[in-house]
Amino acid sequence: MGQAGGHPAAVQTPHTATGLDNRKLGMWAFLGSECLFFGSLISSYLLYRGRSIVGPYPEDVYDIPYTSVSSFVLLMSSLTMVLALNAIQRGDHRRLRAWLLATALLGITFVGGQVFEFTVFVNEGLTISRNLFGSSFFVLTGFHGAHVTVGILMLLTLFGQSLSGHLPTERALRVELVGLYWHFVDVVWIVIFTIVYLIP
Amino acid sequence: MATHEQAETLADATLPPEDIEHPGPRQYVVVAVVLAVLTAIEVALFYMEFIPRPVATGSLIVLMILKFAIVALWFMHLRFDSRVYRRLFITGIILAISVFLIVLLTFGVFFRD
Amino acid sequence: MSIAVPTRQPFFRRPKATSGLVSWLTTVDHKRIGILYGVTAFVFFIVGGVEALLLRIQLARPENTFLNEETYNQIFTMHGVTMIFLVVMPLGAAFFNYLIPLMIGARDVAFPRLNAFSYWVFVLGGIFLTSSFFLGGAPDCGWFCYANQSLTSQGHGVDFYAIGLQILGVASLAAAVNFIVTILNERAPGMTLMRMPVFVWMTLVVNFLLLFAMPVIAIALFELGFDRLFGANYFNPEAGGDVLLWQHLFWLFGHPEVYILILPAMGIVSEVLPTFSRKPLFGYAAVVFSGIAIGFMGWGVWAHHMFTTGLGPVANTAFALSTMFIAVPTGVKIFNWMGTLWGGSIRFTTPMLFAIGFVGLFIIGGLSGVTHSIVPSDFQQQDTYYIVAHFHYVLFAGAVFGLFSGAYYWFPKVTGRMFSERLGKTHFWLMMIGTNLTFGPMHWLGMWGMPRRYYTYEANAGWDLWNFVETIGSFIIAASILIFMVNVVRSVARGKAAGDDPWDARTLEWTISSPPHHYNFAEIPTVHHRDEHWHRKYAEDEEGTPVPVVAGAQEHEEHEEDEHAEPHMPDPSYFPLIAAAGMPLIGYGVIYKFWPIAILGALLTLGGLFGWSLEPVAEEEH
Repeated sequence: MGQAGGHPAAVQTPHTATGLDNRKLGMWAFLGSECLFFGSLISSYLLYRGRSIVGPYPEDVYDIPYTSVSSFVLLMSSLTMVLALNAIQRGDHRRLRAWLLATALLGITFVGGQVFEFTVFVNEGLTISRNLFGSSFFVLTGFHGAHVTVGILMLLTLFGQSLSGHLPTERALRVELVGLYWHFVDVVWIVIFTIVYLIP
Repeated sequence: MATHEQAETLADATLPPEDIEHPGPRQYVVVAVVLAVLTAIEVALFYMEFIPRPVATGSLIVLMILKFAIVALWFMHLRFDSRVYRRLFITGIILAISVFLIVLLTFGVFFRD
Repeated sequence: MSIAVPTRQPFFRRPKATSGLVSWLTTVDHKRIGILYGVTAFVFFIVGGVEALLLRIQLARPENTFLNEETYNQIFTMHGVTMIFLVVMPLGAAFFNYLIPLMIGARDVAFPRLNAFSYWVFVLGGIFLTSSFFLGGAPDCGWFCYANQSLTSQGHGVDFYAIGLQILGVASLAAAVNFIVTILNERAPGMTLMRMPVFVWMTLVVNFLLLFAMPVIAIALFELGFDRLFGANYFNPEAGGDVLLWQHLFWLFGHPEVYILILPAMGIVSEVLPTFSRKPLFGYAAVVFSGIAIGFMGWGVWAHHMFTTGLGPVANTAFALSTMFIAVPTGVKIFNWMGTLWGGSIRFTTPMLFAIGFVGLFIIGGLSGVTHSIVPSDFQQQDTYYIVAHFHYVLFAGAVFGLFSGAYYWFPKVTGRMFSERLGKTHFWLMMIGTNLTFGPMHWLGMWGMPRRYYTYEANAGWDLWNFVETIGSFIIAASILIFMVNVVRSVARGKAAGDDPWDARTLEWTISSPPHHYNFAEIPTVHHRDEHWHRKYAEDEEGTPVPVVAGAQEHEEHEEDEHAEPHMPDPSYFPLIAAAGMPLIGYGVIYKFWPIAILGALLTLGGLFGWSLEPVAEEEH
């Protein structure tokens, strides 16, 4: 099925009461719960904004240009992710692997950038125990980074499966599920970047 | 297991209309460019110190919501998929926003400078 | 259509046993998992019950020295933690597991291995948490573990709390995803949402509550853990941390949690009352929508646990109102249950006695709850035994009675045998008397000012007699539980054969054998009515009286399956157990800062998850 913009390769309607695939429904339910997970962390951060008794404070350590580039990298990884899904749905396995690898590499760049940023902050005196800002910032962005890392592991697993011939077109759903998770992690970063870094 | 006819009837009830063309690679690149532009605007807003803070904050929030929605609707395919998925996701979002708004209100977070 | 994928040699062979220990360790059959949950939860019920008896012995006399302060604090903390997280929640899971597929006409849940994983994480998490008693002391901060006492608590007890509950939370979240997808997707043809048994509806609501509430306490526990282990400042007042953040996060979880605890019992009672009244549930739609309403509104009342923390009049008023309003859907259910009984042809079997007992006693607990919603009144009640009375009436006289009703009701289905009605009724009456003797006086002791969570009280405050009475009551409850255990053991060994439908009941689980075959239904049923099984047995005459349908007059649907082959079920798997086993090891490693154990645990869990994702649901060579 080589349509450029049409409906992906015909998948049989799953034999479920809603006609929806179990795993896709499960993934969306899980993502719904993750909203509460990150919502709690973001709220904790917002509560403590401006309440640190000692510095360093956000304006002392933030490097907005640097973080903007990081954000751009993650945003582009969502593009490569969706291109990977599109590729497997069209049966193009070489492009699938190329885009999967690209997504993973962009993800690794992002996490690497986070690690570097954290190291700089620590050198400037901001640790998890230093003040409220340190605690709430590192835990929030740390959990986000951990989520990205899990995503990278899943992407590399898919890449490996495709290389060894265990990811046929009929199993495109796996790529879709990892994709949903990956886009969610991107969307959380969209919120974090704005609320934590940009809003004064 | 539902019979095929029943599954299709129920599935039809949950799918959006068929006349929307599913995006292809070109459309996805356009979406990504839009997202990049919105991000650039956000960063620019951060540096434009002449804009009054409430306006800047409000605009940033609007842009954030826009980017969130675009990724969800296009990249996560919610625009073209069953409404059930959208409902699951939105329920989580609305619940999180509502309860935490109330929590932050009780702490007086929005009444401080 | 077979997928042309090269066959792989699995890392090690897929387990195939159908009997013996390994078959239980690797089972993915929802019925076995349900039994595992039920038995394990009952063992923890005994543990929590012994903890209660120890507390009551200490409180039987003023200024008693049976337990010192430190021990008392650990015991009352663990009594609460055990009963909530290791008993009532898993007992709910036991019923969901066993019954949901049967009630919706399915062969298993949507994700059988995830189901097994939930169980193993629960049991290992429960052991991890309880092991704290032997490793320097259990948590002593109360089940709610308020900050910042939680930060200054000596020893590792609170660390076990933070990590143990985190592990248990994983089990609940996994189960929530599983049951939501199962109920939405695995229903038999013709079973629309409004034809589902009420128990299934309540399970759906409970699992949505779990889905959204568990992440909040997960964050609270992470923040607590990071404060204690890495010096973070979330609840550290010296750094500007606000202890109320813990309370908000905890009760944002904690209030939906109490509905998670009670809705399964309400679902059970909604099945038992109609069967033994020989009438359909009165106002099915109202009961269903009330359950859904409770699920939504339950998110809007959490700060009623915080009325005495200085939230201010606006917040207090708002939450007082929302708390009063949430009594309405519960009231609707109670009236509908009464309506079910009214005019019915009642049989007072043991499950029916427990169900009726539930309704009556829950009313008492609910009424005391409504009194808490009035803020000035709550200022007097807070931290006294009046609160203890309230939640034991709704959780013990309520949820536990409801769960016993379900245990007796479905005992014949699970075991294939009938229990002794004589012993069952003895259990009921003893437990009824014991419950009211234990928790009734707590109302007035609280009103007289006796504070809770104190290891002793002064002599001659006028509290001595009723504390003693309560202790007697608690031992009467214990005796009644012993009778239950005797009943179970004797009936499993020598009970009368039950047959498919000993109660002449209404729902699909009674259409198949007792116990069911491992594949549940030989042919998936097609559903045309609510209470499908009842409508297959009975039509109604002009006066609405049930008239038995002549056997064989029902339609048989066509089926394409080969009638000789048993349906192919998902295969057993080692990976859920392996993935679960790593988690307590991570916990011990982190607490004792012994990193090799933590890394081993992480490898086990990751390896288990990895192997699981590569393993097919069922092997092809059958």
